[in-house]
Amino acid sequence: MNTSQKPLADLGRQLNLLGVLGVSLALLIAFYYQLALRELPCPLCLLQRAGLIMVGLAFMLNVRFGERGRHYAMALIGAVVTGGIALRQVLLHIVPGTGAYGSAVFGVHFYTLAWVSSVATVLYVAVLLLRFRRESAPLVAGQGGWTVRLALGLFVALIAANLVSTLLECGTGQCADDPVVYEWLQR
Amino acid sequence: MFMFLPFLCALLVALAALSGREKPALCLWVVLLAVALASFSYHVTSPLALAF
Repeated sequence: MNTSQKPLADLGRQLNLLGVLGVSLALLIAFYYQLALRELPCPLCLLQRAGLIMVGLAFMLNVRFGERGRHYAMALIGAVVTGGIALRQVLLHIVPGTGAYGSAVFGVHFYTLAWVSSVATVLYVAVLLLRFRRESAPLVAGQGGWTVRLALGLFVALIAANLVSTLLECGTGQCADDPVVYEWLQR
Repeated sequence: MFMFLPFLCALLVALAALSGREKPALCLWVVLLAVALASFSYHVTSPLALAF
């Protein structure tokens, strides 16, 4: 590899790590509302979380295996899926008098925030692609330091926590459209 | 569709990535996409009360 490319490649990895942290932050906020305020996520809310995780996984692949065009394509697809699901929920509640689902943060509901974040993700990936010149090398064992290990570990832990939480809430089947109890904890 | 499946697929993708297996991670990500879309399609049943 040309040494003049190394700083660019490192910057790309750092920006992708920032993307992983951004998705982790969104998942942490969602968990705060779920656990501290006891607001159970609806099926569409869970699918928006899954969409955000799809984006985070694409960023994670760029960190772990080096920047690749296909990883950025995956991030864009994940953002479009998240935005589509969020838009469906926005349209369910857009007519006055049709109510809303869950709390609002600064007057904006989570599904609207999810749509905004999906558009922001598309713009962020566009910026990353503007500076993307060539594919970088995968991380070797021990490379990346504790920040990479901590950020990726937190992200994986949040995915696992979502799996456990969804099993507790919905069991092994489908979720209720308007869940009020954790199905497995009621047995 | 089973609501936990997208998260199970996502966890498998992450574990494959952490263990350095890129191809399985990519394949599982495609499965995750398919499961998420199928689950979305299952839940999009009621028509929207919109007029443009």
